[in-house]
Amino acid sequence: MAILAMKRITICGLKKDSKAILETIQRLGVIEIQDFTPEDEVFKKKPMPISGAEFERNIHDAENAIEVLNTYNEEKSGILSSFKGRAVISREDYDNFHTELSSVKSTMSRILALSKDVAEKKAEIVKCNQQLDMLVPWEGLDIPLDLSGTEKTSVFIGALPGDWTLDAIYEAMAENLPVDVTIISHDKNQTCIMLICEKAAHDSVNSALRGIGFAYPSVSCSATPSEQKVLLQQEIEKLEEQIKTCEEEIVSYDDQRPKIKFLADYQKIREEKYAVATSLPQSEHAFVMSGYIPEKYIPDLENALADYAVTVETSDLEEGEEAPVLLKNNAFSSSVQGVVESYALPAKGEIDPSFIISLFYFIFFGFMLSDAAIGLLIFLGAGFLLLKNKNMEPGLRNNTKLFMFGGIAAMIFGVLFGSYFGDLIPSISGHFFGNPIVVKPVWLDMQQNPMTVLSLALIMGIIHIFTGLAINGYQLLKKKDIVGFIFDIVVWYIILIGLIVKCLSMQMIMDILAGGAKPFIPAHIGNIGLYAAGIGCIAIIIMGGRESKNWGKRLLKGAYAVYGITSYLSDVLSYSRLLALGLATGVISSVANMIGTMFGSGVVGIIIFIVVFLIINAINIGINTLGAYVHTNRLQYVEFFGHFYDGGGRPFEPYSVKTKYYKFKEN
Amino acid sequence: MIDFLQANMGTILALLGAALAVGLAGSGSARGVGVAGEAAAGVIAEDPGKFGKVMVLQLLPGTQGIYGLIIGFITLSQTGILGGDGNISIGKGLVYLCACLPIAIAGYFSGVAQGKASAASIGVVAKKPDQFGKAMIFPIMVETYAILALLVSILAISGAASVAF
Repeated sequence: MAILAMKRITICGLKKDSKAILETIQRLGVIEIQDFTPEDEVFKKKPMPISGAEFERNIHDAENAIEVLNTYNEEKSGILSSFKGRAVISREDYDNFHTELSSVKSTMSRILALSKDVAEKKAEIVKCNQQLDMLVPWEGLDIPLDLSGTEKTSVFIGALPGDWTLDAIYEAMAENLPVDVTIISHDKNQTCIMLICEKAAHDSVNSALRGIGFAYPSVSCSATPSEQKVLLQQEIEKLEEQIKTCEEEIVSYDDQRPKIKFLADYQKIREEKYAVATSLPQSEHAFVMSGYIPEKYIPDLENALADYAVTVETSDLEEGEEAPVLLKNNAFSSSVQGVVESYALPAKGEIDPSFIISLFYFIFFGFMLSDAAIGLLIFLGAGFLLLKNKNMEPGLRNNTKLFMFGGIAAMIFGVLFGSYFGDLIPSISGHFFGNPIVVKPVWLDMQQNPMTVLSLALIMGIIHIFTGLAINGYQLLKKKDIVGFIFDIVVWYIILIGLIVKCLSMQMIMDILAGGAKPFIPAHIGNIGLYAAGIGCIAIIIMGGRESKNWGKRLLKGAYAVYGITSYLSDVLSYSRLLALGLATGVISSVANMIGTMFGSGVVGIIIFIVVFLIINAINIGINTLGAYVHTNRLQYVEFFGHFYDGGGRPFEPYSVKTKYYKFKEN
Repeated sequence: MIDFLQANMGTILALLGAALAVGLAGSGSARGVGVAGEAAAGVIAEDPGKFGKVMVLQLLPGTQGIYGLIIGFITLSQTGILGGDGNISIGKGLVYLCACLPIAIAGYFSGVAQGKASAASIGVVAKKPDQFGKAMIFPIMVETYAILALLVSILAISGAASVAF
């Protein structure tokens, strides 16, 4: 199949139905809104009374609440859970949700308030702990820290910078005697003192103390330090108790998690709906909606809207109009759709290459992996994931399918080339049972016949490239560019086939590729091929630069176009990676088998064999599956697409239900 | 000592070839994967969700080491150092040494270069995760040359078995 044909669609309905109609269209998700109808006196865009900010705030709150729940009770998520996909929720649940809306909202704000409470209380505990730390130097004091004096005396309690001795302090206070100084504690940073003097001497003592850097303590309390310490500890205990109750309450809301997630989705849907509603031109009683719709979905839409008083008009696209692109392929080809999409969507006039790619993709993938046992493992793994997770998101599903098919292809090539974890079967049977069972490859052994396999790889490359060229020809014909078709496609076929024929008639080439067999194409036919290629080159020199008016420039451009022949050569050689990567899988497995069998055939030998086998083959599967995947992609993107496909189409972005946690299912 | 060298020179040369293939290609990969890994770690610090994508990109320069291993392994098993008598002529040892050189040299330099390209592609994925498909292509371009070197090494080694010395 291919790119879905797009139509323009205009829907005109009554405003009183607008909410229901918009919801219906949103659930179908088949229209990309696009303004075709200009505003006029009757139909104008009007801002909606409800702003999107409220939805956004609710979504934000819901996300935060879920995060809070997660910090206390992390949702279980294994590696496999990422394959699960979103849970499905029925239309009924969606319709009934508005009755629960306010209760969920209040749960949500309660959770947020609780978490804020917890944060504040934790901050208070920190503060208390800081005060406790500050009290430590004053612990020896048995009067309140903020005592400033008695009836007759003044009391200074505070710290001096640095380590002071009692003598030094008395010395500094020499002019203000009598004073009584007690050192409460001291270390190299500060000396905590209590100084008592007569009330009359307060001011002069004060200034003398300032002179040596006296400062009042940063904690202040009306209790003695040791009493204060107990008070603070009690306070901390109380706070911890409160945090515990808050946290318990938060955890008790854990069962509300699905509803909060639902609320986020619900608000997201409504946000999108209101955004669309605001953008539609409307009169006093009617509204107009226009956009693109894939042709095959028009009947579905008409059915869904049958209950409302609406008119639905569809029309063809205008000349040269670039419609958004939506790809649709059969179950097999859709597995490589992700590969195409991650390159680029087809531009106008280009075909959807998914189907053709799917034909080559698995051949290359299988060739590069080419181990029956590893292929079987990948097939089983991917198949298991597909069976287990019916709800898998479409993109992920396609990729998993890609590896499942790739696994099958690797099994086929593994049997052809006789590789089952490399030479596992002969190794085990030979080493542990003393009687090697030779597994004959169905076709040939890659390691023994690298040149044959290389030739095969290059032939596959030639077929692949010729197919790309043919598709380009088809696209040119569809655009009615006959000149382009002849000189950019047909002539190149003549040149390339001519050169291949010539090569096959040469003994030298046969020596390299076919181990010295006699050329099966006689020399004179080879020469005909060479002449045909020569004529083709001349045609390209003349016509290759045909868009230039100036003949000198045109011929130069033509000559440069002939130089493109080297790119075909390098493209074909690039397929030698099929052989290289194909060898890699089997050889690494064989390395594992060889190392494993070095330690004898006793119990220890068997254990070592199993450990080595598991470790090396786990790495082998990882690296070589990745290698097969990226290099197959490269062959498609660079060698294949280079000949016919640029891409650049705009993806179809329908007005639809774009939710994060749940999928909605029509009943 | 002289006697030992005379008797085993062929094996020593072949072993040197295998060592170069595994050692140099492996060093190239190690440097490449290292550079790409630094870039990848930076991306993960910002967005752990991109782990799968950046890990794929980080692994791309790792293949040269594997190619070196393949050549080294084939050399060791064909010359009989692994599971054989391991006695080959000096001429043949020299042939194996030369056959190992393409993947040793190209493996080292392409591994380093591919690592840099991978790091740059990881930067692309950090900013535009949807461009992963295109970002992957740039490091793969570099790898082509390692594959060509691997190919010549394989062909040379499988040819060396039939060379008479």
